[in-house]
This record gives sequence, C-alpha cells and structure tokens, in this order.
Amino acid sequence: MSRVTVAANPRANPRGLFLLNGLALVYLVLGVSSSLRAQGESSAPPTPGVTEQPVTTQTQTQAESDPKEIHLRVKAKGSGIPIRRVEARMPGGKKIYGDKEGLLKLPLAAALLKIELYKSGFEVLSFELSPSQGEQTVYLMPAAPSDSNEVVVRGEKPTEASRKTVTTEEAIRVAPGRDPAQIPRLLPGVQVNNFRTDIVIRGSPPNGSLYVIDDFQVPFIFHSFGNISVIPDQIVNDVAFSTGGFGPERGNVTGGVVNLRTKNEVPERSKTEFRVNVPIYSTIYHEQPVNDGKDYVAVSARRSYLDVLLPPILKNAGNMELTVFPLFGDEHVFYVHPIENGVVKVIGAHVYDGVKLILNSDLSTTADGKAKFDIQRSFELLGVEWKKDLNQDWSVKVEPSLNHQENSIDIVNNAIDIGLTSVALYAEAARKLTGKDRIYVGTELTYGKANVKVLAPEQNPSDPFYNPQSAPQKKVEQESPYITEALWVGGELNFGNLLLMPGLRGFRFSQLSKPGADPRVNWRYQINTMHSFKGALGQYSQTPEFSETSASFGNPSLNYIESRHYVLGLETVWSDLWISDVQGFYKTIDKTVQSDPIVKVDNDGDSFSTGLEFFIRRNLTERLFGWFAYTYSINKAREQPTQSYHSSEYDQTHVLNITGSYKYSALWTFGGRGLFRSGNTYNGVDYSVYNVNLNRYEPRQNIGTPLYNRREPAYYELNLYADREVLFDTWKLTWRFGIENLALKPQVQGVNYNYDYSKQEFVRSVPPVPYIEVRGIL
Amino acid sequence: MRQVLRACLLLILLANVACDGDEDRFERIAKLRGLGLSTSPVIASPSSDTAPSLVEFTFYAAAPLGETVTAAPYQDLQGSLRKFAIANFTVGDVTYEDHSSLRVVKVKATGVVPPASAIYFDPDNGFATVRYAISLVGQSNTQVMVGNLVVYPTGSTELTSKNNLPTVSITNPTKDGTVSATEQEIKAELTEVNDETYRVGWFVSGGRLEARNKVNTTWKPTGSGKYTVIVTARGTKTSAFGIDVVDVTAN
Repeated sequence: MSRVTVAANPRANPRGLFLLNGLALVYLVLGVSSSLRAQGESSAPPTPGVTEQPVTTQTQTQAESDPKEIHLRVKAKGSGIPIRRVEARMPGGKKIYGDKEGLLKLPLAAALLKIELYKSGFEVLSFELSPSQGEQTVYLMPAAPSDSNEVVVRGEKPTEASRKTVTTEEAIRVAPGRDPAQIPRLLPGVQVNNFRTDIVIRGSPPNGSLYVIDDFQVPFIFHSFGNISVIPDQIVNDVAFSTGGFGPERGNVTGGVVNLRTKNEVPERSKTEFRVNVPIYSTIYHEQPVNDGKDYVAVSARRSYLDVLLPPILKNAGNMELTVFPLFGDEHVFYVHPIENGVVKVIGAHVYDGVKLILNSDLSTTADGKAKFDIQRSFELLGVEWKKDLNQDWSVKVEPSLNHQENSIDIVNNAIDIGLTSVALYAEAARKLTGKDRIYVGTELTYGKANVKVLAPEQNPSDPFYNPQSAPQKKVEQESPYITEALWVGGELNFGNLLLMPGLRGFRFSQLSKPGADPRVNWRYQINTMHSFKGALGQYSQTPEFSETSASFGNPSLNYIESRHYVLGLETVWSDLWISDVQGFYKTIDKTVQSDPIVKVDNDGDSFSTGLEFFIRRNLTERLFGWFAYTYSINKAREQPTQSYHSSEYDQTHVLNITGSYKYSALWTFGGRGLFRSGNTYNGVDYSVYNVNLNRYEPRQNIGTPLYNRREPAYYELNLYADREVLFDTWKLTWRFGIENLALKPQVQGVNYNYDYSKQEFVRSVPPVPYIEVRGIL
Repeated sequence: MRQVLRACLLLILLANVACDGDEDRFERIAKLRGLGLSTSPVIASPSSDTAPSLVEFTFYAAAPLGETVTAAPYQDLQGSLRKFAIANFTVGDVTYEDHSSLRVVKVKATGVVPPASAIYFDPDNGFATVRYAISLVGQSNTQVMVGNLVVYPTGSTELTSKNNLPTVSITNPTKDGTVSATEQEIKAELTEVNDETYRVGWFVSGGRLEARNKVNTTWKPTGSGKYTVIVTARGTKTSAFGIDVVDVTAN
C-alpha cells in the first residue's frame, strides 16, 4: 500500500559520454555521441535579463533563402539542439516566430537592428542582426532557475491508498549511482546494508520482495557490482515501489515490490549514447524511431572489463595470493509500437554477473592450499506487452513471456547448478463502472522446468554458525517441471470521500501441491482537501525456496510462508510544495522455514515487524527539491513457537535518510544524501571449539543465548556533490566535485574475529572518498 | 541454496580477513591448542546387538613446555544438524611428548558407536556421522575439540577400502636441522589414501607462514633460537589423520 512511482521527466535527456566515479580521484571522458534531439518545452515563463554575457557565433552556409530574408538558426548552448518556436522581437513590437527546427526567417530590413530572442527556459538574447546572406546561428544560454515555487513536474495521482512519487530527474540527481532503481533505498520502510545490493523492506528478508520489469518477473534487479540496475535508465519511465499492503495483482512475496516501468512514448529523433567508466564498464545505447516515426526501437549493451584488465596486471604483479574477476553485463532490445488506445511493447534482455576468486584459503581441501570460488548468475527474458482500452468501459493487458535463469555456484568442492526455463502469462482486464469505480480480474500462469545439479552440504537455516564444510554433502541431479497459477479479482470503489480497494488472490504452486488464498484491502478516506486517512490490511503468502521443498535437501510437506500486513497512515498535502506521509505498520510473518532434526526443515518459525514511518517531501521546482524519510521499527523473530522472540537479523531500529538538490544558478547545482541508521544485529560469540575434521575453529554461543543478541554501533554517512556546467556551443562539460562516505570517523560495517574467536574487532568503512567526475555531452 | 551460498561467502570473509599480529596467527602455538585427531578404525560400523563397535580416539594438542593438561568428555550441542553422539565416551590417559619449544599432548579416549537404529544414514551418501567432543583444560586456557566420526553400515566395502591412515612427513627442514632465522622453505611429503583429498595444516612455535595449508610453503621465524615445526594432514571425507613433528635451530 506504500507505493512510490518515479516518473519520467521528458526534459532530462542527457546524451553523449559521461563517466561514473569508481575508486580513483579523476576520470576523463572520451568518446563521441551523435545525438540530435529537440529539447522539450519548458513550462517556466521567459526570464528577463541575462546573468552571463551571451556568446553569439555566426556561421554562413550556402542555404537557399529568399534574398529579402535573413535566416537565423537558434540553438541551445551546450547542446546545439535547435530550439523550436523561438520568439524574435524587433523594434516596433513586431514578433516573428521560428519553426520547430529552430529556423527564424527575418526580413532583411531587420539587419543592423537590435533583435531580442525569447524562449521559455533560456536567457533573453539581445543582439544586432548582421545583414549578410546565408544562414546565421546563435546560441541561447539556459536561464537561471527562477525563484518561483511552481512545481515543475507532477507525478501521477495515486489510485492506491498510499503511494509516494519521485520523478526520474530527482532520482538521477540523488540516487546512488544516479540509478533510478536505487531510489527505494532512500525511502522509509527500507533497510540498507553495505554488503548487499538488495533491500530489506519492513523486516522481510531480501528474498521476500519481488522485482519486475513491466510486470515481467526477474530474479534480480541489481547487478552484484557497480551499484547499477540491470536495465538501462534511458528506457525507464518510472519506478513503482510498494513497501507492503499492495493489491492482489502481485503475489508470492511477503515484503514489497520494485517495478521498473519502461517508456511508452516514441522519441522524435534518434539518439546514440556512449558511456565510459574507467576502469569498470562501458555502455552503448541507441534509440531510433522507425516505421515512419510511429514506433521506436532501442538497443543497449553494457559490460564490465575488470575480468579482462585484471589478469595481465596481476600476472605482472608477481605472486598474487588473491585473484578476483568480477564480471557483469547486460544487453537489451526494446520495441514500442503505439496502437490506438494502447501500446504493444517487446522487451528482450540478457543479464549476467558473477565473480571468480582464486586465493589461499583456510577452506582449501587440497595440498596446494588454494581454493577457487566461481559464482555466476544470469537471466534471459523475452516478453511481449499488449495493452489497450477496448472501449470506454474495458481495458486489457496481456503479457506473455519466455524466461530462462541460470545460477552456478562452484565453491571449493561444492557445486550448485540450477537452470530454470519457463513460459509465463500475465493478463488483466479492467472494467469501469459508474463514476470512478472499476473492477479488474487477472491471471498469472507459469509453466517451467528446473534442471538441478547439486553437490552441496545439507542446510541448517536455524544455526547462525552453520558450517557447510562439516555437513554431509548431497548429490542431486534432477529435472523438475513446475506450475504456478494465480487468479485475482479486485476493485476500486468510491463511496463519497472513501475509496475502497478490495482484492482477493487465489494461487497454487506445484512445489507444494496445495492452493491458497490471500484476501487484501486498501482504503483512502479524503478528510478534506489537505488530509487523507489511509490504510491496508491483507495476507501475503510466499512459497519456501525451491531447495527447501526438495526431497534431498528439504521437506516436500512444507506449507506457504504467510505474512499479514496492517497499515494505517495520514497523508497531508500542505501546499503545492510540501507533502507529508505518516504511516504505522504491523507485519507478521508466520511459518518461516527452520531446521528440524527429523524432517530437515519445517515451518516452525515466525517473526513480526512493527514501526512508524515519516516522509516529508519538498516537490521539485526549478531550484530545490528533497525529502526527509525516517523509519522507527522493531523487528523480532523466533525459530520455534516455544521460544521467546529475539531481535531479527533485519533489525535496524532507526533509519533516517535526508536527500536533496539545489540549483543555485544555470550552471551550479549542489546536492547530497545523508544516512543515519542503527547498527546491524549480529550473533555474539561466547566461545569457540576446535573442529578436528576441518582444522579450524567454530564459534559458539552459550546455551540459552538468543540469536542476534548484539548490535554494531550506529552508522552514518554523508555524500555531497557540486555540479558545475561549462557550456560550449554544441557541447558541454559537467564537472562534479563530490565526497562520499563522509563521516567524523570510519563507520562500522561488520564484525571480524581472530582465528579462535577470542578477539573481536569491527570492520570499518573506507575513509571519505573525494572525487572529481567529468562528463562530456556532445 | 541461498543459505549455502551465504554461509560459504561468510566463511570466505571470516577465513581470509583476520587480526594479523603474530600471536593471532593460526599457525602460531602460544597456548594450549588442538592439532587433530586419529581414530582406530578410521571409519566405523554401527554396533550390533551382540558386538559393540569400539573406537579408540587419540586427540593431539600442543601446549607450551611444562603445561599440564586435564581432559574430560564434553557435549557439543551446536554446529551439527543431527545430534547423534558417540556412546560410552570415556577419556583415558594424557601423555606428553616434549620437543625443543612445544609440548605435544596426546589424550586417549574410547567410545562405542550406537546401533544402526539409533543413528541416521544419509540416503544420498550412504553413511552416518556421530559426534564426539572433549575438553582439554590447561593452565591458562581451555580447548574444546569436536568432530564427527564417519559410520558406514555393517558390511560396506568402505569399511575396508577407506580405513587407511595417510602418512605425512616433514622433508625440509630435517629433524634437528638448522634453518635460516629470516626465511625458510618448509616442505612435507604426503601419501594420500582412501581416495580422498587432504587438508594440510602447519603449526610452528614461532614466526609466521606464507600459507599454513599448503604442503610446501615459506616460514619466517622470529629470529635465532630453537623452534618446533608440526605438520598435519586430514582426509576431507574420512578425516583420516597423519602428523609429524621436527625440532630445528634457526641461525
């Protein structure tokens, strides 16, 4: 029910090269972009006067022209993009307008007169027109941001009881790695860990949340390295984010939903963009209108090259004990075909990442002391999305897809290879009733086959110090077909100021061979023009992991994990600029899978999460935007119903995010993010034992000690930046001066022990990293 | 599988990022420490109604010269999915073998493998494991040693084919030999048996090793003086155990 949409801002269209900061202090931009794109209209009024002396250049071409006319081509400085519909004012008050290609045809009589050019979003250019023949070109400087508090972009009004909207332009300014998909990490209800790219939503484990691209489920949405999402941001329209209480159209999760939604609009021009990040990865992206501009196609490819660069460097460095080859990349094809009252989209994706390590390790089982670790994962998706309003009352969407996933883990002498191939169908039909009421029904079907080859130790999910090395290995090779089926019905019903959204989701998963049903309801009551009282109540079921229901490693008689969400909130629109959202939540997760000495695993555990979330947002104007997000939560768990609750693994009592961006002038922007959170819980070690089979020490707790009984110190960091644009006629440089991980002292990110756990020390973050990032856009 | 991956990745971090003073290095013996365990037989069969399956344990530990150790059975209730323990576990004599810089402690014990009906034979692997544990109390610390004994069903071919002990011997430096006080290559010769790979483990009375789990590695003593060097090897499947100890003088 807590849902965020990050919507596109059509003005935010960078092109050409830019560089993302990694570890070094300075990155230089290289490359060429051949992008031509008309700049969108600005809603801001013309700004009188100029703050910087405009530079006018003249070029003469052999353009054909009326000898009584002077042709003036008006372009934006810094990009060279023609500015459409520029207004030229001549003495006497006469006004002439340019065409959509930026061409002004001025009478020869205007020569040597003072002409003023006006265009919203640009500084007024006052100059004397040369009487020379041929086409002349002038460049308008972008205007300084106005002090008006007019909101620049309005997100779509939420129909669900609770939704937070963040535009793509805001996301690119402050999101980690400038990646819109990372925005959920800055919002209330979300916990972040430095060693994980995935997120914890209201106490649910990372695998308790769902990641989708346009309703197509994907196994992961972030690469393991580089802090980037698996889909290029150029085709992302918005990010829809639910922290819980969502409707019946999503299932098999207990936490939240992250949905990257792609664009529908056909661009006016083609665009090609290269990005070079030294020394980590490169990206190429191209979009092209086709079919006489009715459709468009986009392709992209991205790949890291550390796995290519590192080996020769390390080889020359001598006897390296540790070799790491991280690898990630993705390729996409995207086709959009608008139809009458709808759209057809085809999306193809191939995503992969992994890491290979070879190092001297205590885990080695051979006399050379070396251990190899090779972890690879990938997925391929081919999906078709067909959406259409059939008539005034009915709309439908049908989304078939083909999916394939591979997970390969090769650690020491254990190997796990899992391949999943499936055909899926997601379909929904909605009917408008009277007024704003509507009902909808949908179905989600998946038929797949899992190929599993495993040589791995038994699992012991309840033991925090579980040592897979000392557990017996199991070898399994099997092919398992599986079917998942879901059917849902829901509605949006208005009763005066009350919007009620009931829903029911029925489902069955062949792993468990038993059906289930999740009833859910959302509501929003508009108290007055400012305040909305909202809430959600519902059940959210999830299947255990595939291995937990297997006969070899788990228990085929397991049940669904069941979560119940209870949410109450108050949303207030204080003004056009300020919005606040206060929510209280209580969530239970029952029948969690725990170790069992007889049946290996069983649904014996449970957990709960409760808390308050505060969100205060300053909407985007030309100068300023930002938000304050604070979550207070208590997260407890237990492994057996006879036990007392203890702090859960995912318990961060306080999480505070402050983020914002301020456009000081046309050329300077300042921004930053601040994070404060409670320390993570961990299992304290009371003593250790020496394992004679493994020749290593194993940690132990005293009998009766609750799990996750200790907490690291609180963590905070500040990330600040300043952007300075340097504009040339047809290109610009953007310098970013920034500092990351700023703190008074290195922050604690984990716990480490000596060989027999008799000494403990905290693992601390790297010192603050100042950086300079240079981006050239041609 | 996700949990296996997380556990393995956690082990990677813990195994390779550690406090790094010489006193804190795994291979450095500065207090009572476990070295390994040898059992006879290496792998056992379950007891029958008429004949108990007796196992003899020899626990090896190292301690500073002159340290006395007492031993007692211990119950380790954690770290194992199924808590099937060796029965009638009885601790015997503690003996000492003094070397130039360390004392090797040997503790004898006996136990009885429970009957087949009382333990769990994994259907995928065909064997069971039973837990044993002993507590050694020294003058300054206590060392708890734990492990699993592999048990095959009576009549299994593994009871004969995998019931051998490896041999491991230090070939460089030689016994009572002289070594460099700054850096010395150390080597061991390992005879692998039972069709399994082996975990090698070196221990020294002083200094540090380049890699304590490589059969050939480099040792940096802390200076001139007498040292004791120990190598161990244990099978990754049967835990069949071998050990060798040499005394050297560093100049």
